[in-house]
Amino acid sequence: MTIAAGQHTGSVRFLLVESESGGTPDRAGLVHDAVVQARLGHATVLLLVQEAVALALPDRSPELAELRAAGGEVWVDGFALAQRGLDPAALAGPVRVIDMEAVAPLVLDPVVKVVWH
Amino acid sequence: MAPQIPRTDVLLILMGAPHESDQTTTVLRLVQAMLERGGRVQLWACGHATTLTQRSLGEYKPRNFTDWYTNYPSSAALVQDMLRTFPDQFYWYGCQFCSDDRGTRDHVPDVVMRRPSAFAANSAAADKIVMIGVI
Repeated sequence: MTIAAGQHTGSVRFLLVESESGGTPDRAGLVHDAVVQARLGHATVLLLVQEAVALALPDRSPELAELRAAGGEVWVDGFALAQRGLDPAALAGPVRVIDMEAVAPLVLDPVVKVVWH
Repeated sequence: MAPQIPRTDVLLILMGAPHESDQTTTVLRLVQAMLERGGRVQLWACGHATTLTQRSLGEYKPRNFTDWYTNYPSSAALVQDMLRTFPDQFYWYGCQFCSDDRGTRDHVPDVVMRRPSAFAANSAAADKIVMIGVI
């Protein structure tokens, strides 16, 4: 299905984009914010780009499992994985490995709130 | 009379030094994807991101020793190409203050430099604003 620019894409309400993999204590950063929003019942996508793709490796971020348990989704930028030589099969799942063609409709959707860290 | 800012679906505020991370390529990939599906996008470059569109960068990056015969476009050339490919959808604005503060005064002609006080008009012309990076 082709989503036109500005058209509502569905149920997603928050697109939270994390670009860093460390430096923020657990339960204090954007990943935690994603968990909170998901637990409040808001359809939430956490997109990991750049260094943050490392958070999707096993045992790196317990909060990703909490996010999924609360109904949120974890997306990982395939380009960033490839640049870092990370095998998508090695990620702790389930995650959705995406490219920007999947992200664009959410950013263009007037209903989706986007926060980038 | 001040120039009218064309309305867009999204205003991306891009800040931060281009070589500190791969933020620049992440954002440009997203912009390309939005433009290709018909989105209208304006980008306000602030802080060190104003250096992306300097004319002094020339057309190509320094030669890649691992790929000697391929010419890679400079960020200025890449932005210019995107602006010319999507003339009614994509607009690149640079913060004049930040640019002057960094001595990057000569930008490619397709970029519009604006004073910080003019930013309110850009934000009013966008349905959504996303702030990316740190100055």
